Amino acid sequence: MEKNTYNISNTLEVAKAVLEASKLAKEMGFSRGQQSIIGTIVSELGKNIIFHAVKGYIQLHCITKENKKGIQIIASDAGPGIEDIGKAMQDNFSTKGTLGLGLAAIKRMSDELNIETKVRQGTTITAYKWLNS
Amino acid sequence: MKSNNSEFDHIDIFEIKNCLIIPIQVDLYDSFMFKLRKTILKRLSKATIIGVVIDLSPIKIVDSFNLKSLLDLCQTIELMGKKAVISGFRPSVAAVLSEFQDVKLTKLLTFIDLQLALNYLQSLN
Repeated sequence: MEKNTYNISNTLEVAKAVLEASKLAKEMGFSRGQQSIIGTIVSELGKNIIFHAVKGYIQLHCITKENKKGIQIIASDAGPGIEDIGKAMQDNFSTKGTLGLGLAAIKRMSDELNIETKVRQGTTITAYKWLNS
Repeated sequence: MKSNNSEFDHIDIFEIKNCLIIPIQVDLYDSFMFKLRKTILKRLSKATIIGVVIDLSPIKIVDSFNLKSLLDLCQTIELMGKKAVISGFRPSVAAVLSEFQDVKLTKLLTFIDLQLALNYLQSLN
């Protein structure tokens, strides 16, 4: 198990991943507002894992691409998958009685967002936040 | 949502001048919210209570799950005929919340700090 991988199966583990993400963001020089955004993205993705897939993991990486430094957040699970990504990305769409704002907000908050999903096999969401962008 | 955090479930509620103050210091996960709602409902049955201030000043992260818990809690308080207000959103939290483009957000009555929230509730009396 890599050092920067966090198993997610309860809210305490999500809180730990959020704390580590905020710490990493601070070390990398992200502003306080950006640290908060990064923490929220991790929290949202972590709770999505618990809520929809029961368990999974979150990975945090410090990466460099085209002279840009940034943080990469990978949230992966082997859950039910997302049937209709288009719908899931809309505000106020929820399959389970939550607010249904999470995924759309994650997209607005992150600089890049990739979603790989297969129904009944799982979902991997990768979010990027670049420094000074 | 499953949670192992029961040891952090302790809830402090203060009563000052007929207002209840709930300082929130932990993530608003489900089992905590359930207990909190139960505790508040008991205290709200007292007729002299004007309203409730939920103080979130120590909270750095509010995600959409927390937001739902918060909206539900405020609604419960209002159903009891009492005013529910929130104090102490950090600027960074407010910035993040604006990304959750939800009309229900405007229903939240918020104050910059606990004192202003209390002043407001007092003025209703």
